Amino acid sequence: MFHKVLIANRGEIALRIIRACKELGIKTVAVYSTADSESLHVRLADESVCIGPPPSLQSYLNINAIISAAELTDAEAIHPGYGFLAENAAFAEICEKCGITFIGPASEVMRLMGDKISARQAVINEGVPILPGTKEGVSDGNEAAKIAREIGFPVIIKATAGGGGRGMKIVHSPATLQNAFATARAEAQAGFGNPEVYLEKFCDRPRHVEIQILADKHGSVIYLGERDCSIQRRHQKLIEEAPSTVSTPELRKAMGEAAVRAAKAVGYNSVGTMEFLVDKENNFYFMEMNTRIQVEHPVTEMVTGVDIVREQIRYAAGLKLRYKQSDIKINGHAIECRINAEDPVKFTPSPGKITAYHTPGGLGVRVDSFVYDQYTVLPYYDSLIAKLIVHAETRNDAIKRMARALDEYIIDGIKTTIPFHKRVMASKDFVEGNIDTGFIDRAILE
Amino acid sequence: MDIKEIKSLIKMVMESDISEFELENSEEKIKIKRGRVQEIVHYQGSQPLTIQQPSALLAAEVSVSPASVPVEEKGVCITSPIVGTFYRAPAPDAPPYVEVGQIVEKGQVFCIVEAMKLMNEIEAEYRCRIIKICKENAQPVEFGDVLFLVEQL
Repeated sequence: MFHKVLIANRGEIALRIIRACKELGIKTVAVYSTADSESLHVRLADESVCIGPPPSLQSYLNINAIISAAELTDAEAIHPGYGFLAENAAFAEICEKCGITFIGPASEVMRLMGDKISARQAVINEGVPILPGTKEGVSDGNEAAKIAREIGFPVIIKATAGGGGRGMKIVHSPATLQNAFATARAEAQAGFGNPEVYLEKFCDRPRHVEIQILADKHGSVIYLGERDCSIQRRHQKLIEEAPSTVSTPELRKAMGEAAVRAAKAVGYNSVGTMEFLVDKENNFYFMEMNTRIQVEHPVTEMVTGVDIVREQIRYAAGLKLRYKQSDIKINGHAIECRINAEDPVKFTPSPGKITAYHTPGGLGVRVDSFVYDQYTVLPYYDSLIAKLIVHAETRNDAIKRMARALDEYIIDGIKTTIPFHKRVMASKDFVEGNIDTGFIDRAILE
Repeated sequence: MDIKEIKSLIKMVMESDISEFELENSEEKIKIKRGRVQEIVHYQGSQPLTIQQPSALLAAEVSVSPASVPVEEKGVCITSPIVGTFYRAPAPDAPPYVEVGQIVEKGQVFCIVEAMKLMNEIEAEYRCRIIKICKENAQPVEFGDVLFLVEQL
């Protein structure tokens, strides 16, 4: 087991990793920008190193500074969290070259699965269904038109280098395809520095269902069931739950086994998530793989009882998977609400000082947050300040518990999305499970 | 421990040769460290506490940009722009780049901060005199750590 781990991240995930390390008896090193000197992850780590000024490029994305900090503190491993350098294959490779264990998959595997086009090609070979679409990038407008006719409209044009919901265009008719195609390439070049785009059939009102996998360095891979992340705004997840309301034991098994086959085929290790779209007929299609720990991992932890971050660290240290697939049971229902420092209607950012803070409690309530009373939420980083997770026996109980917990949660001084989450919990469609990825954007939010 | 007791503890440390003092009981812990630039007091107890320090501002506790920051002790702090190891000389057997009292010209090298086997020379941005050298040779430094106290000329 590692003696010391450096956490190359901030905020709630840095805290999550520090907690797992403490419980494993591992010493922790926090890195921070000058803006984060009062942050909770800095205070709770055993050591801390200031690595730069507030801008992420000069601090949390500053590979040189982070590697230097690891060398200065003799950290044997670096946990990258999510975002920042978590899926940066160059960073993983630099760690490997410097003799520091990167807590995640090997850099070549990350490269393979991180690129949506090569990932699709890799999983097709394992009999994992993908949405009808191009296997390679398309560079010519006429070719695009031909492919779109084969796939069948509506189609969606996606940037290979895009992600997090950016770089996508939906085309409903052949007449507008060539223009949309040219615009998409130009936007991809401007937004991501890479004009390559590919085409896919567009699924109307799909569910976003993802499978969590665990893989050790000895070839064992299992799945921990699914999460439904359909409640999204502009492709940013806001509410996640496990299990999915569309899931059946057969569907879960089919998706889980597909995910495991794909992971084994590419030699994946560490934790990871395969994202699928599920249509109204419960057909599932592979979308992409996230080669990191995810924000919403707690809902899986609540229904399976597995500490995913702990397992991730164990596998990185070379330890074996302790669970067989048959050991994994899904118990009850969990929901997570991402609490952002944003206006609950307009979703505009709302940084500032928290003048009163009180977290909810009671049976089945979990709060993963790094903010505290009198803490000043900074404008430099993303707006996620807390994750409120509940677990209960049934979905209806979980919804009631979440509504109750949201009522108890006090964050004064800034605006937060707590009122938004309360409205969703009270909405008939959500309670009845009539949700898909267009839920928010169509918005009920009265 | 109340503020009076803490103040007399600080006075005791300052009036003696003690460079580091630590006291811990079941309820609280206090550590007083005499640095080259500032006295640093860490207090962990049941109540939050503010202490008026008689001497220098705690420059390291304040958010600093890589540029120079004026300090009560009549001087300008030169801070490290990177994370690494501070070296006073270009090589182990070579003489140090600068000494206390020395006048340094604009563009002259103060020291090296080594990061990942690369030696980064920290240069003077203006003519100045070295008042204090705030780090020991081969000491690890963070971004924003004070390396030198200088008087701008």
